[in-house]
Amino acid sequence: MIIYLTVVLMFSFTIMNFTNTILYNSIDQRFYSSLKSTAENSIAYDGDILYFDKYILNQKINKLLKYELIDIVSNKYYLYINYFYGDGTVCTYRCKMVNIRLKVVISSTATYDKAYSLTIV
Amino acid sequence: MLKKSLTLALALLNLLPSSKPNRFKDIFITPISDKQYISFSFIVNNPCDTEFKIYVETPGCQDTYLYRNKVYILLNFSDQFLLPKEIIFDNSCLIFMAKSNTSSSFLRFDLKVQNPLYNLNEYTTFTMEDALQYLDDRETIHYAQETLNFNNLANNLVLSRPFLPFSHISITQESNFYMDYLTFDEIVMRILDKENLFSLFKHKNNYVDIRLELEKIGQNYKLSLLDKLYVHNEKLLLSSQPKEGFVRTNYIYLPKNCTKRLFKIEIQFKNLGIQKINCKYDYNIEIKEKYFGSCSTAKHCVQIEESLNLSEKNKVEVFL
Repeated sequence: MIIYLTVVLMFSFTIMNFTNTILYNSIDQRFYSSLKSTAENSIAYDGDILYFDKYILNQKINKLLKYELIDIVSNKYYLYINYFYGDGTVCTYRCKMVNIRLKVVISSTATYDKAYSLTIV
Repeated sequence: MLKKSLTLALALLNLLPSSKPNRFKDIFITPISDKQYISFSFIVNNPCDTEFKIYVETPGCQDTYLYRNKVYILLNFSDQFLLPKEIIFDNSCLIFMAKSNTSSSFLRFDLKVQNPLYNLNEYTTFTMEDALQYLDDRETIHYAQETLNFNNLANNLVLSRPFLPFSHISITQESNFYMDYLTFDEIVMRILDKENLFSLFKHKNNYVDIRLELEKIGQNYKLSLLDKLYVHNEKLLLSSQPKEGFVRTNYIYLPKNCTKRLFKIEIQFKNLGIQKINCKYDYNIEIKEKYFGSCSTAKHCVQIEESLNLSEKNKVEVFL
């Protein structure tokens, strides 16, 4: 009986782990593949330098999540967007570097949590 | 008795040499442009009891009149008259006559007609010795010379910018007559746009016209925008009308999604300077690489990499 329960438990954990990994990779693939073009479409130009338009980028990331991750069953999405200058100090205006962190609670045991850094070069 | 004294006083005044009766002033004659009617204005001293006549003689001034008119100046001391362009030929003579019992004036000006449309790809300097004919206070005709020099005219420009340049051209004006500004009727930049990249502009025969003006910088004149232009900060789409999401700009931007590499531009100058030069300048602009796009083909691009910065600062609300 104990052996049977252990096997069932292990099997369940494996299945859950497998499902979580698939979900994790799916979120990552979909988020990553659209993130670059989303950031590119949020770039503004003032005749002098290219920079990320904060308002547009925030809007577009929201749209990206809406269209790409709508089928991910989770009501816990956390998004952190931080802008930097080239030297790593916090940027307030005409920023060329952005750090985007997305955290999605997939299940009670798994959370997608990854950050990407995008830089205009 | 009083009446006789007054008449005598007036007669004496009329005879004084300093009073210069019946004389013209403020006549400025420049080459004739391509307008339908040409306007000449003048001022006269003491027009009372004076007959004024204006003639246009055939080229060479051979006493054959193309136009004759009497002018009646009553209360105003200045007047202007219009001549239809058709009756004026190059080297015609414009004659002003004034005749009274005590004096007469006779002035003859040579008329120049600016017909050709010069190509700035062939000629870059324009000089006219008698570009301006004007009268001084002693009713003597003076001639002013003008030289216009166009600099930095390149037929082909290779660039890596997201906008079409026009301010590289500079013009210098040299004249022995003081002018505080280089005059013109119109300067138009014409962009061939078969691909409809400037979709918010009116197109005429596939051309988009943008009006320019001259800006004096030191001794040179540079071209700048006369039309107000607005650009969408994100798409770099250009508009001639203010719209939501558009901001004022001094550049002729190319849209961000533009893949076209070769642009044909023509700049037309209408009645430039005292000489009233009509000319055009054609040039090609080759955009060497896309200003913004993928890192392998563009001057600027976005690089993406995984980050270890898992900061929880600046949380953005997610709307799903």
